[in-house]
Amino acid sequence: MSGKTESIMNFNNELELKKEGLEAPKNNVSRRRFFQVAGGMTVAGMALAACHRTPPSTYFVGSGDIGLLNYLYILKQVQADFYIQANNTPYYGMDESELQLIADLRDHQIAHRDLLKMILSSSAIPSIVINFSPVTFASRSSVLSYSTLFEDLSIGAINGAIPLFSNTAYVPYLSKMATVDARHSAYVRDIATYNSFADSTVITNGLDQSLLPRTVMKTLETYIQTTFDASQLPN
Amino acid sequence: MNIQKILNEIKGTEPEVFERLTERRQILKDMGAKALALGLPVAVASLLPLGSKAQTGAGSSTATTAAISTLNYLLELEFIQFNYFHIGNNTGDLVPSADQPGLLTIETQDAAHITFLRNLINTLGGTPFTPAHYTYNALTGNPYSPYSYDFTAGGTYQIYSASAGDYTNFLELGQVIKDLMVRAYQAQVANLLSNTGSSLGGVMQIMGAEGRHAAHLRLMRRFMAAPEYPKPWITNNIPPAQNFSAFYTGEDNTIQYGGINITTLAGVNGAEITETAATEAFDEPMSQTSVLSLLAPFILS
Repeated sequence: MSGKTESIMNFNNELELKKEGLEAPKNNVSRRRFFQVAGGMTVAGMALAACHRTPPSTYFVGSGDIGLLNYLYILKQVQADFYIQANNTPYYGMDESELQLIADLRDHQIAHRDLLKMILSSSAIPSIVINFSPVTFASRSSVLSYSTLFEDLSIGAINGAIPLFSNTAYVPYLSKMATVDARHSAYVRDIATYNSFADSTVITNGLDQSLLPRTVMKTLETYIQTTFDASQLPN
Repeated sequence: MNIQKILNEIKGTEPEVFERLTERRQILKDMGAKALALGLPVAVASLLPLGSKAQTGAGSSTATTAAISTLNYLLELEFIQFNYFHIGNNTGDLVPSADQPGLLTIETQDAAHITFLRNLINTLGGTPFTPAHYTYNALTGNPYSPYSYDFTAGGTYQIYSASAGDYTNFLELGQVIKDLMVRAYQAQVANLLSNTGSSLGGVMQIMGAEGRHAAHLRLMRRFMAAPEYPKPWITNNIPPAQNFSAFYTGEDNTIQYGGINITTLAGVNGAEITETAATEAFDEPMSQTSVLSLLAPFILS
């Protein structure tokens, strides 16, 4: 196991202990649990003396439309980073067609990510630190499985976020991203198992998913080292 | 179904009518739950004087009328899609067995879209669209309507016999229709921003499925070595054949929100995003007028 992977796993273990309240901060402020997920109270930049390792700073995602855009920006960063890695270290057995199309998956998510970053401007949260230790990039089935997970999550996230915006001017552009993600998902599902492009694991009564922001953030936290305060996200 | 909301809307638009309606509150209470759930807009209308704005149900607010109109247009599009694939799936030896499950999925989900849109339109107080020569119930009837469409467009397209080439043509035209549907839905998102009756979220969920259908058809054609070797996503404005160019006009757009040109943004390793990737990453809208004009050759009056 590489040193980097080991440090990621140690970091996650520490977070688990913190969530259980088994290791309280030694300073005098009232006890605060160290959350990555919505609903928690976190203090940006607070270094806990009791930690073996100082975690990255916690970033406030924001509220209202900025919060929603940042939340989608986080998701797009995860997807872009995933495909950048998948293209840097292609899975064993990637054929010519897949080589071309999986590069496209990366480039599209980069385009989505960078558009959101431009829109957010100075309100954008910083670049996230990723944690893809659950993924085996050398394995075709692992990569396609996680690709499916993230694409389906993105479609559900955009579908769920769209009705929550106050400024609806963003909506038609987010919508354009969502159907491209749907094309992505159909592709990786079909090359994993032909004809599974829209199966019952994601489509119910003909409808794609609609997920709430805090549900999506909860799923994402496994794959992100950076901690976020998403407690003010519309829901 | 929010009864109070409907009553409030009536009160807001026609106070005198509302006064009379409250006398009839007991009648409303006596109605069965099923009648309330499915038929209240109609039932309420029957208690009101003729010509009352609220009687039409749809007329109780401008936003609702507009939403119903948009949803009925989308319902019309779903009828077209469902029938295209249903006819193909039921044409003798047209579809090879390996492909049947996928094409059946498309047909089944389009039928589910019809059900969803019909119920939503009905809930909002509208009457669901039916195509010409349709004889079944507008809310519950089987959407199969063979006399409403000619997908060969008077013999222009050979798609429904089992002879060599027809299946290729069937998939090609099917892809074109599905890509068009994604564009049609994209344009209508802008008309549903007021989210009347949770219409916006529901339409987004349908649209995801349509994107998947389009991608599947494109991938099928890619695997069958179609001449333009399509990707699951639309590259620039490239059609499967020149005669379908009009369906893809505008897909070469690279300018998104705020006039931002995607090709000026940093891509991999800081290099700019290619024009190809920039056009592929966003599915572009197409107006109702343009969409219906492209579909007109297939619709029988």
